[in-house]
Amino acid sequence: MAAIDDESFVNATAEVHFGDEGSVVIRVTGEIDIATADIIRQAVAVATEPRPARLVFDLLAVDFIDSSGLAVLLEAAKTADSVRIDPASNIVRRVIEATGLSEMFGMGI
Amino acid sequence: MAPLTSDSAGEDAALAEADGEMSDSGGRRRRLVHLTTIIVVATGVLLTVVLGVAVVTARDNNEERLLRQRTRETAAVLTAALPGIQTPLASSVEVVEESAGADQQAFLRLLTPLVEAGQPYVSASLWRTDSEDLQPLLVIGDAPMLASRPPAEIQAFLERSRAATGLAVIGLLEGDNPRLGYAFSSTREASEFVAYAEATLPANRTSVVPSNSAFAGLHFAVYLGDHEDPTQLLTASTPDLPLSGALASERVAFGDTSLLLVMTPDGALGGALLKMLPWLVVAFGLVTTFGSATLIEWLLRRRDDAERLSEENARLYANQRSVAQTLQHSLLPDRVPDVAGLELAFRYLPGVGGVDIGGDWYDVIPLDDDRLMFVVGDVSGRGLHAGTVMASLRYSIRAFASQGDMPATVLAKLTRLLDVAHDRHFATVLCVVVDIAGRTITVANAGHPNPIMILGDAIHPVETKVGVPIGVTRDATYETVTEAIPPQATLLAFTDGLFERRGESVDDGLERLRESARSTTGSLDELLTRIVDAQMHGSSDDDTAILGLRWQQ
Repeated sequence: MAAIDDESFVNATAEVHFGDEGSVVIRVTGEIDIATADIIRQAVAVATEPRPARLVFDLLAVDFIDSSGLAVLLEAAKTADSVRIDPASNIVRRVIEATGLSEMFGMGI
Repeated sequence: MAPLTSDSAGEDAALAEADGEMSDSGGRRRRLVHLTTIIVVATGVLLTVVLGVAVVTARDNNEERLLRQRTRETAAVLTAALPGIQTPLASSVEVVEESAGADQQAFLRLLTPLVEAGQPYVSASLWRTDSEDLQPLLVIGDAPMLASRPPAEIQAFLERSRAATGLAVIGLLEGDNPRLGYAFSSTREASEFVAYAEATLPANRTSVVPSNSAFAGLHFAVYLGDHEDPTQLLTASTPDLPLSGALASERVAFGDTSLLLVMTPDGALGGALLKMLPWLVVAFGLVTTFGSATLIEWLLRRRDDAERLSEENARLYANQRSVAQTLQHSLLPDRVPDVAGLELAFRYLPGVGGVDIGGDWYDVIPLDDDRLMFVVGDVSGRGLHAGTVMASLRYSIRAFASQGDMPATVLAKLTRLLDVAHDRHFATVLCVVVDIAGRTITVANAGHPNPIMILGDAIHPVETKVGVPIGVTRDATYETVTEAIPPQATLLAFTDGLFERRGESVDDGLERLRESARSTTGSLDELLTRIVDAQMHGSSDDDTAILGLRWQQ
């Protein structure tokens, strides 16, 4: 039980890449949960100042996401004109689909 | 790097409570001093004492060695000085003897320069050994005190002097100013003459030693003879006799007798620092010991405080967890209403990690005799805020249902009550209306896991139109799906904690669920117990709510 908590502490990284024509990519690795939510929040704060036209989450290397993690992505969705998740790991894809958010994150069906 | 964003309100409350607890337990008795500190002090003092004694011993040995060395040096100086007073006497008597007493001028010539103030002798005289009147032939300076001695004594001394091969010392001649008398005769077989001289002793027999002399820092006493006889004292550096304390003595040959040199240190020969060294060592040792002890005691007390705080925290943590669970249970229905024709059961499993309230809930709302609404929802995240969001959503749904709203409308209205950008929480909600007589369910889904239907050994997902979760967009709309439920089918709705775990795929979770739900014998309540037991074998760190529904046979 303690091990689970310990593992979940800082098990994530987030990089921000500023691309051309007002698009910003945030590449996240590891787990997106209540323990790592602030890492993503900080990255989003950096990426959305000023407000970009397109915000893209690269979640290919994310191996766990829970509801707190999803909440962070949904918060970020309000900070750009368009927000996409591309590419996404299977786990992320399944969670996004299961929660009816594929369209919102431009993932198609 | 990643600050934990567990519910801050809950932590504040816990801290406030912790403060209160700490002040309550502040009266708990503390140990006066730790055993470790006492051991450190005892060891330190012991070492200091041992070291101090060692230094004292070493210093005393050093002092003793230095004293012996200085005494030997002084004795050597004294020995070297003696020939200076003997040689003129020896030379003059030799010349007189050579001339058979004719050249007494030689005696005068040799000894006159030595009989003056500041010179060794106050009186020098030439005697015949066979003198009948026992008076000197020649006198330089004062009259010899020997001449006023009894004739037998004079006769005996002259005889002794003639027989002696070197200097003959008569000893101290008592008087107003005591004198030391000594004589030389020729080394020939039949000598007839004796050269005799007397020297005065210093005033009070005390010599003043200049501070820069070789004898500075030392007291000395010189006795005639071989023991410390006060009457035989020739000179000393102090009137406090006999000398006391650390002593060293040397004997110096002086004619037919000897001189005894006794010395003692006046202060420390090794210097003031060496003398103070033991005290410095002891002071340093004690300061170090008590300094270390204070530091150790301080560290031990800090450790005690930390341990006490840690115990308090553990207790409060457990306490808080139990408070959180109590609160959560109070927010959830503790029993479902009896509905004719239906079997209903539910379970709530708190997650294993953390003390915060989860946001999972379930609810059963009878609408009329033929219909009821059931809801399973999950507010994202944990903590007091997630709990309050959950409570507000749950009671809002009851209000909308009482107004006659159907599932799609309920969810559409609900989504205006929450905004993830503002509240940092969203919610998934499954809202189902059950037509009891018609054996159908009408389902609207806001991002929630689909319910499943267990029929025999098979598990079928109930496909729904999954809309966006509550709190994502204000203008979300939802579609309902109506499904017929076969007799003997069991419907399960749950939150994602049931089969979503870290490091495990959703399929694994579903398989586990399938295994535990396979046997459909027994009551619905027993089925949920089996599912929950299977769930408990692995520990989910998320809360889980399960609601089961079955038509009575």
